[in-house]
Amino acid sequence: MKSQMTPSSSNNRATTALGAVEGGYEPIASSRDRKASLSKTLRSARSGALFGFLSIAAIITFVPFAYMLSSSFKRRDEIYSVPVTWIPSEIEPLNYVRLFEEIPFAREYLNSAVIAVIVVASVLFFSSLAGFAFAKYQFRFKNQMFLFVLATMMIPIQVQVVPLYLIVNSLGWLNTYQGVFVPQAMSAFGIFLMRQMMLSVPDEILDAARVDGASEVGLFRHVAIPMTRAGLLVLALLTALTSWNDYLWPVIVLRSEDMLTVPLGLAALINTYRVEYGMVLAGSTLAMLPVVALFIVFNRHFVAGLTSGAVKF
Amino acid sequence: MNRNRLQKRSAPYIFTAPFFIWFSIFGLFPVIYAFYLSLHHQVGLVAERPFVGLQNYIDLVLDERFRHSLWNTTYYGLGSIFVILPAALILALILHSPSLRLKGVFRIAFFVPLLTSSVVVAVIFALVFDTRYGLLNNYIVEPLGFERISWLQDGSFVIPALVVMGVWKWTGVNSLYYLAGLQNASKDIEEAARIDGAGHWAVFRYVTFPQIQPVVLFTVILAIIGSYNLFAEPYLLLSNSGDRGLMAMVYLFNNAFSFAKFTYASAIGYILFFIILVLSVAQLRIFSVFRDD
Amino acid sequence: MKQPSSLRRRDLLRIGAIGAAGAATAALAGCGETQVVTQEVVKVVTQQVPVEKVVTQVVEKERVVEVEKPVEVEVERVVTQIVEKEKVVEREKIVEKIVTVEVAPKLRSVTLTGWTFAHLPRWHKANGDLFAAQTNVKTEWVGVSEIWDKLSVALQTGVGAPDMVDIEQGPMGRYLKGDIQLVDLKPMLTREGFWDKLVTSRQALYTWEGKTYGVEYALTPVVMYYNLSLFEKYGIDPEAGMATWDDFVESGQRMKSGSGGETLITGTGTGALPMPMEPMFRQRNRDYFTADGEVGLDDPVLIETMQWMEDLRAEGGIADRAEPWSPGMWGAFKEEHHATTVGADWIADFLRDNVGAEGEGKWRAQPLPLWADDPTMTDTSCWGGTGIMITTHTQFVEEAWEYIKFGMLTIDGSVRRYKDISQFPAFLPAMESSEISFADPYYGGQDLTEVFKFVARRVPAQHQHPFRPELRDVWESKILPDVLDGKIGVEEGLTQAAAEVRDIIAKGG
Repeated sequence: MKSQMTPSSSNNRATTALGAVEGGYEPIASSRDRKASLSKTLRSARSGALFGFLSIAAIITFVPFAYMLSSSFKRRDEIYSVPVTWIPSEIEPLNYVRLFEEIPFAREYLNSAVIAVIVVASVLFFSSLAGFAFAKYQFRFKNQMFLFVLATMMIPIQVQVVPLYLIVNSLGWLNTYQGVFVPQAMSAFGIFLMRQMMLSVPDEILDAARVDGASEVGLFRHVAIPMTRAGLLVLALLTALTSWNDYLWPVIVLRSEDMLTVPLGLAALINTYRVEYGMVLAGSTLAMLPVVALFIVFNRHFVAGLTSGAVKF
Repeated sequence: MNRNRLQKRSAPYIFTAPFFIWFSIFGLFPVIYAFYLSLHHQVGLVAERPFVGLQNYIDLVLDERFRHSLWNTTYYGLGSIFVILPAALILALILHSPSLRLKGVFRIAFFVPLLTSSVVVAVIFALVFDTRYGLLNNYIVEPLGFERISWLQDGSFVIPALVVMGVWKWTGVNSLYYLAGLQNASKDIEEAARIDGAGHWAVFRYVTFPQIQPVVLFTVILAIIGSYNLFAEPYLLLSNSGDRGLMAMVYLFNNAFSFAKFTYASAIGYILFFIILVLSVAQLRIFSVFRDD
Repeated sequence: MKQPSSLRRRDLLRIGAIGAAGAATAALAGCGETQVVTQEVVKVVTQQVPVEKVVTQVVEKERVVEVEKPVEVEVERVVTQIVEKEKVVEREKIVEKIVTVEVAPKLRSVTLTGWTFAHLPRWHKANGDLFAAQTNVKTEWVGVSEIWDKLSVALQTGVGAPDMVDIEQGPMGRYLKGDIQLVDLKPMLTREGFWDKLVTSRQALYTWEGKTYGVEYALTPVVMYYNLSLFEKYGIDPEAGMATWDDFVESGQRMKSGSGGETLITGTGTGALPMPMEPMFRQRNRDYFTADGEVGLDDPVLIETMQWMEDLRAEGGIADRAEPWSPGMWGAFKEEHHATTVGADWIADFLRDNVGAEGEGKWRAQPLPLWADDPTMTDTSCWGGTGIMITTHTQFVEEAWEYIKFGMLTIDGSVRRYKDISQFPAFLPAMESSEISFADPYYGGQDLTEVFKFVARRVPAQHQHPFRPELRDVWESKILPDVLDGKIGVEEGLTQAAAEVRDIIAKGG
């Protein structure tokens, strides 16, 4: 059972995975194929069909975005025109202008960014530290502690809101950045993920470094971290995403206009008595930009990171 | 050497200490407090709450709406395991195809849905599912010769609609997990099987799939946790669908906030926790996550 | 449009409406003769004086403005099939008395905090600035959409609650259970003479066991909005064609056959219903809860109204449905698929903003169609509402109360609110202000204010109850879908829902 579960290539390193993803290996498969040219034609026809299918699927996936992007430039009454107009009759940035004039969107953006940066930095540091310990050390109750950490991931935040609020209030942190980011400054998911990443750091290298006089902190900094960079990028992106879209907890803690975050500001534009879809769509488009940019920049590392994480289950 | 050994012995405790200190304040206390609440009874926003033992849990077992919400949630969970995950696997197999061009572009395209906030997703999908003007009815259902579907009102289509939205949102990220698994699978065995005359299906079924099975199980766990914790999408999208689309998490939220029964809501939270834990631990055991490397 | 028969029936049917709702007018009217009634209205305008200025003496500038305004009110009454027409000429004498009193010296120099939602943050900002300019009280408002969840956590833990809060009528019940942490405003409202100047039925939304915790922002008069060009296209006179709900159905059939099903008279309602459910009940003076705090779901008239809506959907074929507040709803108006919608004052802006150019100049509003043979109904209803409240956690009740008075209980504040965020005031003196009357080009030059004013005093009450959220959940989420899916009948469903809610209340939650 166990051997079946463990991929045969479980000794892969993040680096090999990176090469596999980006470098590709198409020449290997085709070079071994010594069949007639007919087969080659069939093959290219098939890959053409696959490409077509994939393109259609990608376009369908993109339709909601196309709608969001194009509607964010529409007059508010054109947003609902039937049939849907994909290119606005007149492209005007009115919704964007209103966003900055009618709500403190720039300030909300800044607040969201500050919180996201701190949360990401904190989660990365503490998760990799604890993940390193869980992956590379033996200590009493290690597995029990680890299971416990995992289990608490599964208690819904909704039932924790009231006690958390009491704590944050007693610390005097209502309506502060720390009131938002400290409760999410560490993450069981992050530890879980980083543990899986750190498992691939070979013990031999660590022991060799120890013999050379490296401290345990030095091992963490100079051996473990560089070898799990791809995993850290994954964690950074997923954490940034979570923090950037976080809703319920900031609503409860933040209580003045200058402290609100982007999701709060946008959600406030929709309710029973008022629906400002145009502004919401414009704001959402802007809110997505940094995350999309981050994703594009890290795309290659990101897939590599997932690879190395998935390997070690 | 002695100093080193001492360092090595104490290091894991020091490395995990920040987390456990933080956790005991911001993790453990709320969790214990929630359990304490679940053993009490509350009507309205009051300071005093009589102790009722396990009464909330007994009430929940008898609560037909809670059972209904559990069924809906499980239905969605099955949908995400048997629809979203296979779709992701197929996508990954295509993306894995050696001759495919523009891989990077496709990866981004299918991942982008995850980056959108739920508020916008709900707004957009109201348009997708609209009976008369919806994109789904106009561009897919009707051209295929079916009657327009009242996606968000018809009891038999509410959860499927949610699954459709799930396919859109989660297929990309799951396919990336599979892609990662596929790229680590041994090419040599596949090639050998192919040379031995095995068809594509046979190669996939008997060679490729067993190799990515750990990743499949991993995604199944994430799907289970995700389904039982699904909140924002049904809360925003299904607000007019009534109990046809009642999800466990939404029921919990309504009890906590609309009815000010934080006690009952905490008990729901613990039952959900227990379900997820049992399912996940079973999976984790199979994964043998707890083996020491 | 000549429709003698329907006009006649309309005459007969008007009775019900005015009979109940226009009780005051009817009393004035006497029986059958033209009368002249002189009414004296004394307006007291309170001006606030800054602290620095010590006012030793209350200055009274009495200015008597005599306005002779003949008001024609048509009241028709039927006694055993005989139509009597009465005309009343009402002469109103308005005495305006400007009294300057000292208020400001009592107010401390503080900053009040408030939580709000929707478009109210904008209003509070402007109002707060004006208030601060006249007093030394500053206000700091924050608006987020889940304001009530935030409030629940603050009140549950007893920490961090604001001084003031805007609570919507829907979640209001949550705060009436357990320890009520809101200040009873009724003593102040009555002591200072505001109670009678508000449309009292609106205050029911924030009243429980004799205490009133909020002051309503808007009258929310429910009227019939309709696309006039469609009525003209199919040769239907909107007034006669929507005089009663029977006429409405008949007009719907003409529209449907005339357009080959492309135009339906309505399709915008609760769930799959062709109308918003609650306002329809309240038009007949029925509600989820009765004035005595009893569950009213299984009231025979309420059941009958529900059955009528359900039949209209199922059999008539003159209505279909659009998801409320969805792109589909506005789309149906834009492409002239739906011809009417039952809506409150706040719908006026929704149509303007979301239907936009395609509806420009086409839409109008008029009082609701009437129910035949129902003496308890009226020609309007109410839908929604938000109250401003003071929490018991504040240390500045006087200052908060002054703020509420400044914004809500003055003509100036009410007019500003209507102009700024289109909330038609429930403060009666403000309704007479010429500043809220104007020809609206979007509505083809119609002055919507005239329609709202016409029905204002007949706006029915919506009764608040601590278990209203639970009732709505049981009825609208749990049982209504089964009714709409045809799994159980209307009467059975409502009876079952009523029983379940009574059970919940009996168990105390």
